[in-house]
This record gives sequence, structure tokens and C-alpha cells, in this order.
Amino acid sequence: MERYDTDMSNTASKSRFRKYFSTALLVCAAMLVAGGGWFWWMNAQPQPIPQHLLKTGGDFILQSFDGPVSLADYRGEVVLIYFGYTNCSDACPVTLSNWARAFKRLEDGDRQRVNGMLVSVDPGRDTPELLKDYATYFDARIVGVTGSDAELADVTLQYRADYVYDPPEEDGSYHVNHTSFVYVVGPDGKVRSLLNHDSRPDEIIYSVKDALKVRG
Amino acid sequence: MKIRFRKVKNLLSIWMLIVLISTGTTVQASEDISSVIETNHAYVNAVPPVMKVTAAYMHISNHSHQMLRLIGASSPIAGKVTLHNSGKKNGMMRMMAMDAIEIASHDTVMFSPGGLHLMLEKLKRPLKAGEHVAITLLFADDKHVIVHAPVRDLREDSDAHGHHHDHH
Repeated sequence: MERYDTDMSNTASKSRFRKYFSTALLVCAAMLVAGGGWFWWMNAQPQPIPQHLLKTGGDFILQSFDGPVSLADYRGEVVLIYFGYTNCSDACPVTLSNWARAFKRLEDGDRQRVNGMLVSVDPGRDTPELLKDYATYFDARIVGVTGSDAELADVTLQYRADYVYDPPEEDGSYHVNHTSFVYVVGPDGKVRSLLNHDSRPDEIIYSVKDALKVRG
Repeated sequence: MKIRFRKVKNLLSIWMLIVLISTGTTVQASEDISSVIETNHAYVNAVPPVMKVTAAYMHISNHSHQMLRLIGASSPIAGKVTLHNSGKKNGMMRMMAMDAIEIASHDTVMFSPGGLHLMLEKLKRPLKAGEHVAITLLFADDKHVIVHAPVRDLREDSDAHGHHHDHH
């Protein structure tokens, strides 16, 4: 009897141990899953829009060589917007080249949801045709648009951008002073972040991937 | 670079001699100062073929014992070359034409994106990446240096500031 009892208690402690062990294992697994889930969820969340950008941006329609382009048509995709002009020899080619370099480095799925838009604030010289040649030279995913002075005034005001023409030189050529931010518009149409005209491809990819997390 | 300049210098002196002999007059020729001016990291931005404007960059070192004044530039491929400085004013990118840029004795002035640059206007033909463009830097007191700057395609994945494009 005693022997049997001992056996019984041994078996009981073994099964109790097994019970604890399996419970502990379950708890660990649950924590891992929860932790992983939390990590995944956090990773899938875009960064919040900074306070100072909450009232910047919005939809607009401007002219491209292939017809009117509406920012609203890009819902579900990311658009980089830059206000510049083609006769800008120093800043603008670097900006569009860095976009092109960043786009090329994105995975196919992401690349198909990213676009560039050069808004020319120099409609006097930048015709829609010239803008198309200029923009697509850098990347087929970049569109060149412009509009009337009034339309451009509205759009730049929406984006808190600005431009001023310098007095022309003797030969009629002139420079355009312009703000040089790049606006990262998310799939929901909101400005998520700002880049600089000389932001490197790495920074562009970071901002684009973050904006792509937004559900359009 | 220096070797090339010396070649140019030799060619130039031969050419000057020919001019002198053929015209029989004294020609007030500009002095080549490539022996004291060193240029590095020179390049020209390739631009879409429709564009008639581009920018050239380089580091210019003055190895002479006197200050040199860069007062302009010219190039056979551009109708007009001007000295410009980009910068920010009132939060806006701005391009300012410069009359002259002083390079102190034993100093280096850097022409680089977002700052000083040579603006090549009225391009006579589209530029091909890889080709070399001759740019003559004009200094005060009738001095000059010819630089052969390669055309760079900015869309290619390379350093955007052109530190790896020396041509010796």
C-alpha cells in the first residue's frame, strides 16, 4: 500500500509538473505571439502627422501635357510634390534625380504605388509639353504640371509654398525664387511629412515607405 | 589634370605663335595660369535633351602667392556661362548672379550643388553623360584656365556630390 501510495504521489507530482510546464509554455507562446503581434502592429502604423503639417496641403487640379491631373486621382498611392521650374540648373535636377534613384530602389509592389509631381511655378516658360519631356526624363513615374498664375497662387497657398520672380536680365532670362520642400502626400491625400530638395534617396525611401502604411 | 593643362598650354603657345606670325601684329593674349590653378571634382549635370540650361561644379585651388579673381567663364557648348550662387533667403531657394569670386592665395573655393555653380545657358546641343565639356575659367588681369569637366548623369546611383569623378 505504501509503495502504491508513493507511486501514486510520484505520478501525481509528475502530472502536476507537466501541467505547470505546459501552462508556462502556453503563457510563453501567448506572450511571444502578443509581442510579435504588437511589434508587427507598431511597424504597420505610420508615424503621426506632425502638428505643423495638419493644415498643409489638399487636393488640386493642374494641367499636364496629357490633360488635367487631379491629386484626388492618386488616392491609395503616395505622391511626392515639388514646386520648381525647369530652368533651375542647380537644385531641381538633383531633387528629381534623387526621386528617380529612390523609386528604382523600391520593391515592385511599393514602386507601383509611388509617384512624383513637379509643379512648375514658371508657366511662362514651362509649357505642359516641355514639362512632360523634362519630368519623364528622370522617371516615368514623375508627372510635370502647371497652371495659370491664379491656379498656382491657390495651390502654393494650400501648401504654404511660395515663389517670386527675379527681374529679368538683358537677354530676358530670369530666375524664380521658390520654396524647396518636397511634400510627401499619403494614400489618404494628406501631407505626411516634408523632405528637402536635396534629401538623399535613403531619406526619400524611409518617408515613402512610412506613408505607404496609411490606408487610402 | 596638370598634364592635360600643360598640353593645352603647349598647343596654345604654338597656336599663339601661328597667330603672331600670320597676322604680323602683337596679340594681347590671355595668360594661361594652369600652373597655379588646380581644379578637382569637376562635372557638369546631364539634363533632359529639351533643356538649354545646366550647371557645372568643381573645386578650384589657387596655388599662387596672390589672390585671384574669377570673373567669368565660357564654353564652346554654351551660349552663355555665368557665375551663380544658390542659397536660401526668406525660406526660398534663390539664385544670385555673381560678378566675381575671389580665391585667396593657397585657398580652395568649392563650387557644389546648393551653393556656387557655373550656370551654362543656351546650350548648343544636348549633353551626353560621360563626354567632357571644355570650360574656360576667366580671371581678372587677362588670365585663364581651361577645365575639361565630364558630364554626369545624376540619376545614376553614385555620390551626388561628385567626389569620385576625378580625371587625371
